[in-house]
Amino acid sequence: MADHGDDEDTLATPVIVDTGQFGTTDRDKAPLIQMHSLWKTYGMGASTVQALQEVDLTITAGEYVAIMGQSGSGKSTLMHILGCLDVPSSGRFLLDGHNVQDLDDTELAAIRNERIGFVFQQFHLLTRLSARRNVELPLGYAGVTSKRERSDRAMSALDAVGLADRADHRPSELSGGQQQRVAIARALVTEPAIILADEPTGNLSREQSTEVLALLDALWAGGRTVILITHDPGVAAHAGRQVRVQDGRVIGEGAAE
Amino acid sequence: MNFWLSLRTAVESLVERRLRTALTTLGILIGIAAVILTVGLGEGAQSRVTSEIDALGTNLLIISPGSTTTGPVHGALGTAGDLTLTDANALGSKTNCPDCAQVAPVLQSSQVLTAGSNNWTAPVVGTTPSYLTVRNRQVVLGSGLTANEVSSASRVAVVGSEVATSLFPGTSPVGQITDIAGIPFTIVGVLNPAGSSASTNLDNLAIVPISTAEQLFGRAGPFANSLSGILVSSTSSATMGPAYTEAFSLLLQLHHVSRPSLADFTITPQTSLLSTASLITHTLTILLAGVATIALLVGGIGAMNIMLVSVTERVSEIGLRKALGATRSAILRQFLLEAILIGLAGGVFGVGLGLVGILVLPHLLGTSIVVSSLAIVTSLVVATAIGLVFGVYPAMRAARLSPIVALRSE
Ligand SMILES: Nc1ncnc2c1ncn2[C@@H]1O[C@H](COP(=O)(O)OP(=O)(O)O)[C@@H](O)[C@H]1O
Ligand SMILES: [Mg+2]
Repeated sequence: MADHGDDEDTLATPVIVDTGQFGTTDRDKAPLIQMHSLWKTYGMGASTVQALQEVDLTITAGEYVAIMGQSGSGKSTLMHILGCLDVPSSGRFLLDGHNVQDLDDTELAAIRNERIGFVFQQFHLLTRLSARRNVELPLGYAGVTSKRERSDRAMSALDAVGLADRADHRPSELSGGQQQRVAIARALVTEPAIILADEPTGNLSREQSTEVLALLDALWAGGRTVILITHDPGVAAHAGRQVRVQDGRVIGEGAAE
Repeated sequence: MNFWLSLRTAVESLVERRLRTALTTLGILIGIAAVILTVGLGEGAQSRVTSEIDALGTNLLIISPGSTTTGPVHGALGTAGDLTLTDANALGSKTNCPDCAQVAPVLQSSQVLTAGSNNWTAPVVGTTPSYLTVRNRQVVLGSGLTANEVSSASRVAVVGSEVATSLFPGTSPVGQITDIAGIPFTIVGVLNPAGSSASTNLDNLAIVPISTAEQLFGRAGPFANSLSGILVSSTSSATMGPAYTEAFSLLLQLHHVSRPSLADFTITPQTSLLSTASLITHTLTILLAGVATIALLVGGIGAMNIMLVSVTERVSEIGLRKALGATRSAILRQFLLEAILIGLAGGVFGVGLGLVGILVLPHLLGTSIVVSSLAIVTSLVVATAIGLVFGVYPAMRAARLSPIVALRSE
């Protein structure tokens, strides 16, 4: 993690392989994500909630960023905007240099499908589908028409999270940690540049959290940009950079006290 | 997302909610079965009426004595309502009525027929050989009446199949003797079975020469020689109109009636019977089909209601799919496919139920039901269309859901 700041706290991250090639100029050329005085307002009149206020944030390709803050501070809102699931009320949000506000539904769907892999606190697996079929879902929307190819790619993604032998299990037959690993396999199956994880360990035991975080570390080590949302400083410490959010504002950077 | 994958997704989600899918389908199913049955019943009634009227004869004009209009006394001298052989003969002349093909005078009376220990009551029709042509009947055994038998007032009879089997069960009646009103007749022929209906039994009759009938049960007094009616066939269905006009003016002239409104006879073209009867059955069919259509609409609205609930329940799935890259149109297609499949399933099972009804109901109701492949195909198309129409709104609701609202819902 040398290229991502002086991380004295190394934690239990056995899978991390630091190839030493990150942080070089070719990865840093253009910022992957740029936010300029971004506002997000929910509701109207008296019940208005300013979920995000004047947020400025720049994230470079290949970074491992933790967004920290207490519950209700606006982390999920920020992630939804980062993931093109929602649009800001005002301000500018550039992804890969493109102004997201200019894109239509089809283009946004394509970005979510190709560029971003989501990992949610509640896993959001479809209960009636097997692990493999859950992982195949994004490939269907990516236009992979060959059933064989979808299956093969899903299997190798499941293999990457160590669950190839559970491919035919339904989510209800898997532990929480295993379900979240299936969700990670689903996030990485389209080989997106960005992994957005919103409280990925929020519903997991310590042991399961360790496994899941190890996978996210490995994804970052494999060259992806990982944005990790958490209120847990121990989890945030996995990232090379911590962005602290409070009451909808970015209040600073650096490791939590 | 390609079509087959969307289809698979739709099928899976329908199968997953089997009970709900079945109940949703049921509404459309019942509607479609009702439509199939009512249309079948209507078509059955229609075709029965048509064949019944067809069985009366082709291009037929039925001339009966008496006026259809009631009014001041007319046609005095006691000849009112009188049709005679003279009238029939005049109609048979090509110069008087060029568009009349065949003319058959009819003198009819119900009589008891006996043969050995069997007796049977049947209408006895005194007429000429033309009768068979005009009424579109055939002799299947023996022969019909001949002109000779008519001119010599022979005691011969051609009988309907029901009379034949009643009087001579198990044996051929041709050549046998039957007593009609106590007078022995030789049976010379048997008519083809033509079936019966609520109003007429075409197989229960005996045909004898008109001359013989006049001797046998012709009336005395001023109404001697008066006929029960005259049947006239036109040369073709196109000449029904001219034949009608020619016969009408000829009879007015023969009866010395000056104004058509005072006519002492009535000419009924068979087509008017047909159109009246079809109008009645047609109206009935439309009425029943209307009720069935309302049932179908209610089924469709029920289906829409359930689909809306389904969308609400599945917001989280919809949100997830959007997060994974589903476009609005992909979601729309998935839900529309589900709706179409529900409609189609309702159509297929509804047609199945309708067909079962068509096999069973005629035995219970004693009515015929006709089902056309057109009705089946139309039902399937309509059921699918209903699924589509009532699925559009729920599917659009699903497609428009914001992924955020959807994902936060859990
Ligand atoms: N759809 C919404 N409508 C109204 N208020 C919302 C909505 N989503 C989030 N909020 C509010 O915005 C604030 C930030 O929420 P969120 O981004 O979920 O915070 P966090 O993820 O940090 O817990 C909270 O006060 C929350 O109640
Ligand atoms: Mg949150």
